[in-house]
Amino acid sequence: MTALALPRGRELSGDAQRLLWTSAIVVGASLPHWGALAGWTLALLAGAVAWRLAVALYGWPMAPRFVRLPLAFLSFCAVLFQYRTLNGSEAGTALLVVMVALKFLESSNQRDQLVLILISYFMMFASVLTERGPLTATYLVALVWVTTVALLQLGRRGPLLPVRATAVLAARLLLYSVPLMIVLFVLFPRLPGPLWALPGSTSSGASGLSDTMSPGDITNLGLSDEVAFRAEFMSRPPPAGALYWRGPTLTHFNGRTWSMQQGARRGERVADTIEYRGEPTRYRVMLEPNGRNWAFALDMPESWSRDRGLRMGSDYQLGMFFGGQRTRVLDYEVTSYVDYSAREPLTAGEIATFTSLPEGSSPRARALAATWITDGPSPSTVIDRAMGYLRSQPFQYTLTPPALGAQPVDEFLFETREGFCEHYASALTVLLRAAGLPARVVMGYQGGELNSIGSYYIIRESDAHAWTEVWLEDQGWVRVDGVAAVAPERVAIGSGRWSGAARTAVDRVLNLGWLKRTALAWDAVNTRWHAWVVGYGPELQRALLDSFGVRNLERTERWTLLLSLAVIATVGVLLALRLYAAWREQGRRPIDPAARAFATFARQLARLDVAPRAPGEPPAAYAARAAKTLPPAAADIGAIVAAYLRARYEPDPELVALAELRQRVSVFRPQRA
Amino acid sequence: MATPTLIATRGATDHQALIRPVLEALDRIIVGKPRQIALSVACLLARGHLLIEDVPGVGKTTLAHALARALGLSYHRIQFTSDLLPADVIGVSVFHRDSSRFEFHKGPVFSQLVLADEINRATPKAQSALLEAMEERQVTADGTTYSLPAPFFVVATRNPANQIGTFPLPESQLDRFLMQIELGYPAPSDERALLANGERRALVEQQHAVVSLDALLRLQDQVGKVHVAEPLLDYVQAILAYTRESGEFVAGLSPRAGIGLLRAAQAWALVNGHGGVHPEDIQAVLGSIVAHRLQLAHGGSIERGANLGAAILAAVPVP
Repeated sequence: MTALALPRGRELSGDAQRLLWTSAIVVGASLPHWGALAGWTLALLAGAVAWRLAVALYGWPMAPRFVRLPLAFLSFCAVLFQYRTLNGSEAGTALLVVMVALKFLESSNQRDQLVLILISYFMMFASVLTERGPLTATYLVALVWVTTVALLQLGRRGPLLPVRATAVLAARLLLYSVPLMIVLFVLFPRLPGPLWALPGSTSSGASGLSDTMSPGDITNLGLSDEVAFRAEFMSRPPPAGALYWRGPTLTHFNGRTWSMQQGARRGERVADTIEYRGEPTRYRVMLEPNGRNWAFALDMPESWSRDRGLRMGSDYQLGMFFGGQRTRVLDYEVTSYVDYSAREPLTAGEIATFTSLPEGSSPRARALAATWITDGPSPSTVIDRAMGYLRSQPFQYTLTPPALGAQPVDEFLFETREGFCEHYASALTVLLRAAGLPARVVMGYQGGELNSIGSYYIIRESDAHAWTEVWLEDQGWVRVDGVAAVAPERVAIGSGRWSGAARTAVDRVLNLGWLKRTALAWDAVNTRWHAWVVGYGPELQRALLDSFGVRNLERTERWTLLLSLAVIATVGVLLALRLYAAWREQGRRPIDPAARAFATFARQLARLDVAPRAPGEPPAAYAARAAKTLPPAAADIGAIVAAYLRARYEPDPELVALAELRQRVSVFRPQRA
Repeated sequence: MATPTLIATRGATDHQALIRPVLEALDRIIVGKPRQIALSVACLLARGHLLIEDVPGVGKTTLAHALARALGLSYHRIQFTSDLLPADVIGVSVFHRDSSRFEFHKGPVFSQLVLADEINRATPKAQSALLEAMEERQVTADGTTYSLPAPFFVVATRNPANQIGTFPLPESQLDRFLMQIELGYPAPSDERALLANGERRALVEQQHAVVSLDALLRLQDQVGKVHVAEPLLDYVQAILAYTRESGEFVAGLSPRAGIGLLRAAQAWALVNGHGGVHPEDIQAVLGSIVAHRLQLAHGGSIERGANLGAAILAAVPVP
């Protein structure tokens, strides 16, 4: 506490300023956690910082031990009580923040502040566990920079170093570490899956596709612009009309609501019965958290990233069959064939399931379907008749259909004739089932927006779609999209723009084109970030090493490569810097270290039009001349010359003066007066 | 030259704390001549002797007397005239009838601070009596050697004008003076203050010692211990070499002058509270070291009447 006996006046002592630095770092490091942390932990932190600053600035008493000890115990219990655990990222972070607050309260010396800075680094690290976007990363890099400045300031006593020059020095120090960082990032052995597989957070408000469907209940389908996933094609993308992103399949119908079949049907063997044709389509999906464990792929996926825990379900849907909700972007590669036959043999029981309709529901639809099969047509004729019916009657595609009553399918088919994909998928499936064909509803997304800046597709919630799949004995499951009969352009260009006539008008009036472009550019940045930085996993690493001709490395070989490259990078950078310095000095380097530092100082001054030292001009006179030219830097110049005189001409066995001289010169960045 | 406002010394050293009151006291008496005062004190601390060359009436005597008062030294003034005899300086043996023995009566040289006024007016014989005493710090009379008091500091003055009937000191004798300074006329404002406050003599008489004899002797011992860095030894040597080799001077500086220069610089560093000799310290004293030792050669590039010290400093690079 002796070091911080502070005046109350305007002039802050160096120690008080250092304390301000520390508090700024601590608060800054806690910032990314604000959204996730319990309010009381933040209040505790704010209170501790405020009290400690009041001690330093206004002479308040330090928090006595009988306050600190119970406070520590209580907050520990509070964390335990709130999170029921000390494990996991949220509880751990809360504990970290609490500990920082308590440490701050009792910090009395340089060492305490160093500890605080180090914990702050840990807090920054902890924020990467949950937040990995480019904005957070940028913020953290900036914060690390500021923290380095603070470390430089904390490492000494007396007045603070000039902030500007220290910032430049800190930036230089960080830049030196960049090559090593790149080597480690690229080569550090990657674990499959999320590296920090900590128990996740307990709250997740992610929204996504529902697992049931009740056309008729929704009278105004809000088109959410929220991104469902992004897809980047490594091969030529298929036409928009073939972009059916397959999701869950709804089999069970109760007359109003379609829902998923309860219980797994037959495991994975359906995959063996798929026959793929034509060109493969390879792409990478970056799936936003949707609160579900299912994933999306183009109809029909053939192979996919094995290390993501993805499996194909009995209804051809990809999903992760381990429990829990995903809270992070899932990133996987898939190869699909848009041309395929899913010739799954159905048992009689299954055919019964896929043709069942609830008793007494949709009598008029059943009657209609009955008229189509009186002549015993082939299944494909029945499908043509159903599609022909939708096409011939005045059906309308709209996002604001009227509400439907007790028999939603009948009312839709014969009265309102207005609806969106769910209405058509539901009605078509009912009609086909009534005609005796096994059919089901598939949910997913259709189309997507091409982000021309990053050349990948953004699939939004507004691209959600539902279609019908019908099983034909010779062809297997065939996709039949009722909407394609009614509003083919919806399928061809996607719902977002199709329905967005009104929105484009708004865009035009407000001239929001640039906004859209900016949004797309930002999305591209985000996507690249996720694709190449956050999503840099073992596969990408292997691909990258392969492209450099490094293949099939044993684990030890890989470590050897990593270590040697890290050493080479570090040594190389240092050597290059040394050579550059040597080249710049070109033999006019004085041998004496103090004289060398002073020569650096003189070079700085020469840049600002201070005439070089005359041969007989002593250092002090030179400094006086320089101070006259650069009055704002006079104090620094004086301090440097004093240090130089001590380092060069006075006994300095422990090289204290030399160290001071070097430090002062290293941060000396005079400005033109 | 030193720029005291800019260079923050590491706080006043103990030695500087002892010296500062002396400088302040002298500064009150000799108005506007801090540099000459500091040089005089440095000269004394370096155990050298001081030569003041200036026209009469600029305060040479006052300076010497004030030095003696402020330092608490016994003081004697010897007016050198053409009929001055060595015995008038050293002392004389007188036969005592009671004890039937010769008894030595110490002359004015047996003072801690001796002012030899207008030293060039006396005959070489009388001059050499003083100069031998200065060098040996002892006096031999009738086969008996008498030590001079410590400290022993001679301030000699000489008048540059009226050279008729004077006996100029030879170079070898001048070399025994560590420094030569000029006082010069005071600045107008200082002169006005001088006129307003009247006689200095009263001030000198009122001045009491501001440093103990013991402390003064310790300071003298301390001078030789002031750190001299290697590059500065090179610097001093380069200066000596320049005076000998540049062809600007009739004769270069002697090794004794070189030792003197270093000594004086050490004393100057002590006076200014430096932890070691700085290049500035050497530069500060160089002018007074060379003033009476160097003579410009014909055909040199240094102008007549130029400051010799400054000319040398401009030519020799600071290491």
